[in-house]
Amino acid sequence: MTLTVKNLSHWYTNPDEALYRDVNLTFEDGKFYAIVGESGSGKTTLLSFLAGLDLPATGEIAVNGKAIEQIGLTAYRRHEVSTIFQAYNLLTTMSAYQNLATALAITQSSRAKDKAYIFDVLAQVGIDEQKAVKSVQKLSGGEQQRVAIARSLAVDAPIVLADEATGNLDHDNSLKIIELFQNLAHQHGKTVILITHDQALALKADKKILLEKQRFTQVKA
Amino acid sequence: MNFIKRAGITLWAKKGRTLLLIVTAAVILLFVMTGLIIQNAALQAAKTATNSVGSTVTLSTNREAAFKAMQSEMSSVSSSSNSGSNRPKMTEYTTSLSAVEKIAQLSNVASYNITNTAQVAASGFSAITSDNSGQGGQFNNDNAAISLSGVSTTAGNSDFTSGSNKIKNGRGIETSDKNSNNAVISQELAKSNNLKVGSTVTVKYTNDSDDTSTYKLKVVGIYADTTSDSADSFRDPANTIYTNYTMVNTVKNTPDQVSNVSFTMADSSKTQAFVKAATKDINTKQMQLTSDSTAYEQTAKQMQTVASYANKIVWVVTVAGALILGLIIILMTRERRHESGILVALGESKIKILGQYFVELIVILAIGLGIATASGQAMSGVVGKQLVNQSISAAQNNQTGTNGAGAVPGNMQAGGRQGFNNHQISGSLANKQSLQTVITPGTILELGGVALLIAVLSVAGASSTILRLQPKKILQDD
Repeated sequence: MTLTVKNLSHWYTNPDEALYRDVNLTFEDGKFYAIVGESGSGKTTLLSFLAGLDLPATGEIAVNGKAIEQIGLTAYRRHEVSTIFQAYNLLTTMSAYQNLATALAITQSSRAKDKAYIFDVLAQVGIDEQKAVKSVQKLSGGEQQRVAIARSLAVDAPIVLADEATGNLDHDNSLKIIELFQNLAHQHGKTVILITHDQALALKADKKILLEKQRFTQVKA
Repeated sequence: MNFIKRAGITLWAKKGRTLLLIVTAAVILLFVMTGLIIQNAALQAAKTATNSVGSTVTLSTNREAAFKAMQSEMSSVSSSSNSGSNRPKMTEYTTSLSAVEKIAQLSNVASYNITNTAQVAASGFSAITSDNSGQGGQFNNDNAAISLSGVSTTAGNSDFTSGSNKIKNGRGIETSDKNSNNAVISQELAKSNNLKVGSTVTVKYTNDSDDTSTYKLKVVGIYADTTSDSADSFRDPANTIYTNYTMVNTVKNTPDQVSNVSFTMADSSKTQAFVKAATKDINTKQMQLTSDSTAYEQTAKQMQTVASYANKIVWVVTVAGALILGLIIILMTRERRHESGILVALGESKIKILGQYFVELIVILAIGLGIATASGQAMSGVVGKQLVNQSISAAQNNQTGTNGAGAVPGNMQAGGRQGFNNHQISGSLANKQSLQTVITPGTILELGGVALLIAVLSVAGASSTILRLQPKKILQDD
């Protein structure tokens, strides 16, 4: 599975003030990518394009050569990609368990009602059963971030996008999550793309892409 | 975890908000239900009014023609002859019994009641003397103090149907009393003369030629007069004795002749058609047909007015309710934009998100509907009674100063009273105008339809903001 970005340019109001121009990137399955850049450089905007949450001004994002618009943005978000947001974006009226169950139901996964599976995925990120059935509002910031990660893991999408996924985690938990991402890529053949400003974490990736001065440059990790 | 289950989880998680919405919905639906119940009850009452109050057509002497004939007679004789007992009298025209029976066979006649009267004197017993017995001429003595009121049946006579008279002992005059001397006397007359059911009284009739005949009447029933009104200030109504009309015809020596018949219509809306058909069977130079659907029209109109008020209540509250709930839902949906954005980002369709909000609102409205149904019966009874009372009060005010309104024209000789009087009309109408406010399955279905409409409009109004936005913008804005 190959995720490609072709001739992507984007601006908000004035084309002369483009965020970036003619971006061409290729993401392969089984690889763990890190996109690094300064704050406000447009990393999250690119992620939103890759996540199918928005469309660029020009250019195309394709999966195996098929534009995501052709796939249908809703279908793309449902079946091809899972996103871990910087702000967690959990459903606050629900528990951790229910958040995962909701995501699995939306993606029409056969495991939507598999309790054991859901609890197992939560356990992988350090959320035990007792915390899993609590309202997410009663969890700490770090725990909520881990639930958000678990939700992404649970739906088992081919493409995993993570926007500052370890920002609220301590060092040890951050490393555990990075290991999870590596595992997803290497063991399960996923395409994992991490947006981060943390250079140390970026080094853990297979490939590092640097966003600087409106340009993306792929460098060795 | 489908959107229906998500709706349930959300409603439970936000109990306080859910409860507030339920109370709001219950209040709105309660007013709508009250309006619907009253509207349906009033429409039903209007429909029932045609059957219960009814419309009557009276066949009676054409008084205009009789007066003209009298005037003509007066002008054709010398003036000296037009005095005292020689003064020409207005003829009471009659028609044959067979003609009446023929008219009664026409469609739309539910029943008919023949009435006639004769003034007779008591013999062997005393008439009741009233305080104003000093007024008037020939009625100032016992010679003609008894009014013999001939009817087909007392049950069909207006004095009894209006509730003015009620049989206290024995029975009333029935169709089987035809050609008999059975009679029904008043309680006062019975008491003052020690009469009871089975007693015999004798009356004397003096005709225009001053010939006197004596007739024995057998008492089969005693009635009580429940009103204090007397349409006739010269005679005490207690001196009215009811017999079959054939008895009066015998007394007056007018066999098989009828001067006054009241036909009750089966369908008040077809009154005029009946009048048109019946006119062909009468001599219009002597007899006339007059219809009176005043009571029916008045009752039906008042009920329709109540229904109209209720209809306005229903519409006003429904529209206001939809607006209020809609605005509340729009506000709450805007608060949940972030939640919507998350769901869309996960791949949920916007339609299912709207479906979730719709399910939440339906659950709220369903509980509100239950509360409104439970309390709607009581509220509609109170409000309905107020509306009807206002309606009757307005009708009574309109009738004040209108003498004999609703009285059956031409029924002057019908007996001790001049048809309906004002009090009787209002009382009669009041009796007919109690609204039967009940909650029927139909009412609940109607209210359910209103609730559904409110839900659809509310969610539709709230959804536009969700449908238009891109998920990135939703998540970023928050």
